[in-house]
Amino acid sequence: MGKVVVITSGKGGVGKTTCTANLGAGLALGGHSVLLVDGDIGLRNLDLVMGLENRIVFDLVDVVERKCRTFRQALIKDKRFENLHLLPAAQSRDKDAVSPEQMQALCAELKQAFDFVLIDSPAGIEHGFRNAVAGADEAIVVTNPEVSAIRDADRIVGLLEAQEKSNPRLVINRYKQDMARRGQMLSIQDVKEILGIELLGIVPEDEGILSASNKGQPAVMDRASRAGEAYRQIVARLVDPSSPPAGMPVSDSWMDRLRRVFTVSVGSSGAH
Amino acid sequence: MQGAVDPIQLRGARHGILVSVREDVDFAIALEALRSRLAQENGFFAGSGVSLDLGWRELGESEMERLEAVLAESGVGLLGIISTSLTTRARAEARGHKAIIGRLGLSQHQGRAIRREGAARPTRSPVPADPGPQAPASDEDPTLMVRRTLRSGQTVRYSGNVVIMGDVNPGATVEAEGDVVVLGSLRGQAHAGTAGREGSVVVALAMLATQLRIGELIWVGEAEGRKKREATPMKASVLQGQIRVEPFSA
Repeated sequence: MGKVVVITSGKGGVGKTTCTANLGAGLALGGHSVLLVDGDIGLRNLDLVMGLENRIVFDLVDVVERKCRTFRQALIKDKRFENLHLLPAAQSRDKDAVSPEQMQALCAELKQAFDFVLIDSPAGIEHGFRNAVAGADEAIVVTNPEVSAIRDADRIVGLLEAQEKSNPRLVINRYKQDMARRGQMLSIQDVKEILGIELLGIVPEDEGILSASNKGQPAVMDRASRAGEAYRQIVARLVDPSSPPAGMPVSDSWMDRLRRVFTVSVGSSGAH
Repeated sequence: MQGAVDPIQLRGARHGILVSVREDVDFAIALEALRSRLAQENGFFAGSGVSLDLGWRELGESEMERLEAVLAESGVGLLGIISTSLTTRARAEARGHKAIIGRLGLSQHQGRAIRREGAARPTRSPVPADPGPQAPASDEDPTLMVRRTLRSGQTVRYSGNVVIMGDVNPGATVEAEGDVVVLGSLRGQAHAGTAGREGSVVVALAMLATQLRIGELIWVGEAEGRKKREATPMKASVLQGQIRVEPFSA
């Protein structure tokens, strides 16, 4: 039997959906059977980021309301991967269309069929959030290194603890090492000090993520992408907790800095 | 029935029945006592509601479910849960029950005042009647121990002293009629002496709060520039009508 992992954040726009898509794709690349569930009923996005929008026939609400015979009818198979499926959210309904009890029952059924069921939670702490976490065995909290995102993540961790979803793990997304070094952005240490939960990985700011999302092509598939590399490491850690957290800032010697300057200048001269 | 060993006590209250459950009795035993007691009353309570005083007991999700089942079986509604445990209250609220902080459980004052059944228990603040604004918190005041970090949006409010064995994160609030002691970093809101007792203090191992309150007074500190590594134990107290924050020494 597999496990159900909810990806949540409290604040919107920190990268929950991108994280869900990339972890799902990464796990599937690693040979695991994966189901992505879009928990954001009424504001569905995960299908877009995965590039699967045009294939939606049934959705999560149809499954819960038994409008299709089994949940399998609503699943969209991602042709790029052997074992990746998506259960899309309904776009024309809202969060009240599903209850936490229904989600629990559905998740119990889904994890019989997949190694990993990843639920993309909506932003906020209301009904949609409670639905998304109801059936989850584990939680991943996504945040950005900025005060408002961290404040919301802290609230979410408190709510998860109250629901006995113990030991949520943290992904810090859109981290800019240069800014953190200059003290213009919260450092990893600052974030860890406040949230005090296990760090799963750090995903660096990467413009490639945006274009990858727009193309419906998760960055984790791109060998050259820095963010994609971080996601591959997070996937490794999800599967094997003893592997090191992704993207831990390595020692930043003057050689490293020199190398970076060199790479950047080569890159820009190439563009001329 | 002996008041001291009976795991539960029933009393008539203004709204329905108040059931107090001893914290130092195994939950299964307390639950069984509740079940048999309600059965004994032979449906007398059916259709009415009970308030449950759980004291500081931390109730798990499944325990909450079993509790609901026992009440449902006896046809008794749950009016609300009274507890000093944040976890218990949060869980009760998550399941749609009313939860209020308050009253001490039956075993809190062992050796001091285990009241005989029938004797009225104080229904509000166990802090002695208004000792005047400058009186320090008494050593006799009840103290609430919170063995965890308070996260954003979480509030602890208590009619005695509060000790937090963890951090108080930004966006979390501690309000105590007596002192507030934080054995960790205090970054959120702390309000000591909420009933107007300005002899109360706030002590934290790492004082990173940007605002503190004692009684009616408010202290606003500099917002930035302090990190946990640099922070030292500090004590905030009222001196000549102003809150002073200074290094803590016993």
